[in-house]
Amino acid sequence: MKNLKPNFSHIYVEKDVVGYPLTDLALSKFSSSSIVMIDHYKDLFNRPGQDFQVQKLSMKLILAKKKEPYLYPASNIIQDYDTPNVFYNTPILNCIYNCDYCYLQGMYNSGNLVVFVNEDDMMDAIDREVSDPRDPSRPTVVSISYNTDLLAMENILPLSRRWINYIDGKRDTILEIRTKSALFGAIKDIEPSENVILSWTLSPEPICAKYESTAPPLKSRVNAIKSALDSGWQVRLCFDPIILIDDWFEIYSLFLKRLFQEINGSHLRDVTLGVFRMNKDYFNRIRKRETRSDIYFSDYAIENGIVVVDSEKRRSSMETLVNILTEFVPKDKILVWKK
Amino acid sequence: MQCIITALKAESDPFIQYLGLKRDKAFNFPYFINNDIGIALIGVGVGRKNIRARIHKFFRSFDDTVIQFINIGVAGGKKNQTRIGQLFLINKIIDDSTNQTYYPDILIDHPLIENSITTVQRGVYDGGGQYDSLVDMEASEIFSVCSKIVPIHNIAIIKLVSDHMETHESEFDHDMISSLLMGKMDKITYFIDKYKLLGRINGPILSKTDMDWITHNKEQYLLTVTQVNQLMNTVKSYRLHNSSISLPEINAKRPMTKVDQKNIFRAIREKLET
Repeated sequence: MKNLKPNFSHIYVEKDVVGYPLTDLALSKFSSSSIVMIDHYKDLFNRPGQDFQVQKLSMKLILAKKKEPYLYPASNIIQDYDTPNVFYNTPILNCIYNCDYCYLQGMYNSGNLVVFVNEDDMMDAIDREVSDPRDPSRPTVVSISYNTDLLAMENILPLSRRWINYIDGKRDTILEIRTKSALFGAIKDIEPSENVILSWTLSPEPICAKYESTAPPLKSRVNAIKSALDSGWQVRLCFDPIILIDDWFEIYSLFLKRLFQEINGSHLRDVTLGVFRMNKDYFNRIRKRETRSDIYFSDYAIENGIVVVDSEKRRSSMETLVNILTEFVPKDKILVWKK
Repeated sequence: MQCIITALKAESDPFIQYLGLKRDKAFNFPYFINNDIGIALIGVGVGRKNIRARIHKFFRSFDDTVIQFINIGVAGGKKNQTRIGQLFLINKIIDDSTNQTYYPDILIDHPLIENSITTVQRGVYDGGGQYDSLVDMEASEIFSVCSKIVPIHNIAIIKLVSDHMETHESEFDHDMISSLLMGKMDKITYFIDKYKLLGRINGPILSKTDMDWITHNKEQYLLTVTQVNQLMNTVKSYRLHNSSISLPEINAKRPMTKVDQKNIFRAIREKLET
């Protein structure tokens, strides 16, 4: 927006992270930004009285050191991946995009981004977990782009590249990098790794326009996916969340048919699917903050602390969409959230 | 409404004059306002003692109005880092007595140089060697008080260097301070004007008229607390889709039974959803 500072006009640097390579890199990328030294990122990021949406109009960057825990068990809000060894970590808190349905606006007080520069500590934690997994017969899956969009930051900080280089060749370990970014070009020169799944979240154009207005347009994402598949990467498509607007069936069926004219479904690793759902506390907090998105003023059910489309509507819509998807993707590659 | 907070009369006078503020006797402390431009000024005196009470009194006198607080005043600067008359927008405030640190949100694109400031209990007259940058006696208390009543992005601190921490405050020259501030008035008012934009972002979805409509229908149709909450969400959804269309008139009879009441409630929501 005009009259506002550009994103990352200010970089807040924890005193403890001065001299880390990622700190130096970030500071060199934003040499004209104002640098403010801080004691602890939480003094800034967690303080009350912030307005998430207003801050999103001029996001600031906070460079900090992650303390334990470095690895978290996956939430029951994501699909089952056929292994109990599923985790996520947080190289970055918050996202450069600002999708209407995103739980981050209810999870965090701040719209600013925190980058943890001690990635080695997070990588060591994965190594420790992999050496003693919950189920040794199954691989360990770590989502590294869970509370952020890592690839979207690649031109600013090449974190995806560093994580791919770290994981490549490790046994029984898979990293998922979930994104809405069109920046595949930023990692295109890397040899595809069997340890990495690049997951793109896709929505039909009307949903993108209304609820994902700050993310790249659908066409750019599809081009990035095609490029990743052509280069030999494992690609997951995430139709998640499915937003059940009035004419959802027509919109989603047309979208899927057109999408799979461009993408060969059999080349995909898998596809995930799930309706809009959110932790009740996050949902209520977003509502209270006077969000401008109509998503938060519809009727939902509450199941085990999760605000979710009611079960009948959810099951029938998921079945309908799975039926359409099976025209393009083998059924055993379709993972559905319908708890 | 924007509220300028000053400590000294020498700081208030240039704004009163430049912005055409008129004395208002609503409070028993210096209070000036120009309703046409939506700017008020309150004087809080030197140091912390009056800040909380005066800001609260001012704040409570405005219902349903977005308030932006802007502390504008003089500060001591380090001789080797600052020039007398130099203007700064503050991006970090350290309270010297509690070690608490505050970070104003700087979202507006502004032409000012940014700096940090330490708020001290007593004046500093030895050159301020122990402080990193600027020094004043009010900023941390003002930020602390205001941040509990308005969002952080609606608080700004602007400081002008009046001395190099070698001058006792009783020796401050009123005319010199006023004249230094007047000399920077274009820059300050440019900031104030731009800053106003932030106050307009993300206000409440429902207007007072919308809220009155909900209250009227709640009373008329004996709606329960749960129904009022549901109605509130439906009205918000309606307002997001119809920014300027009035809410529909509901002409049902007052319910006599629970079934009646539920049917009327359903009908109201359906009317809003179509």
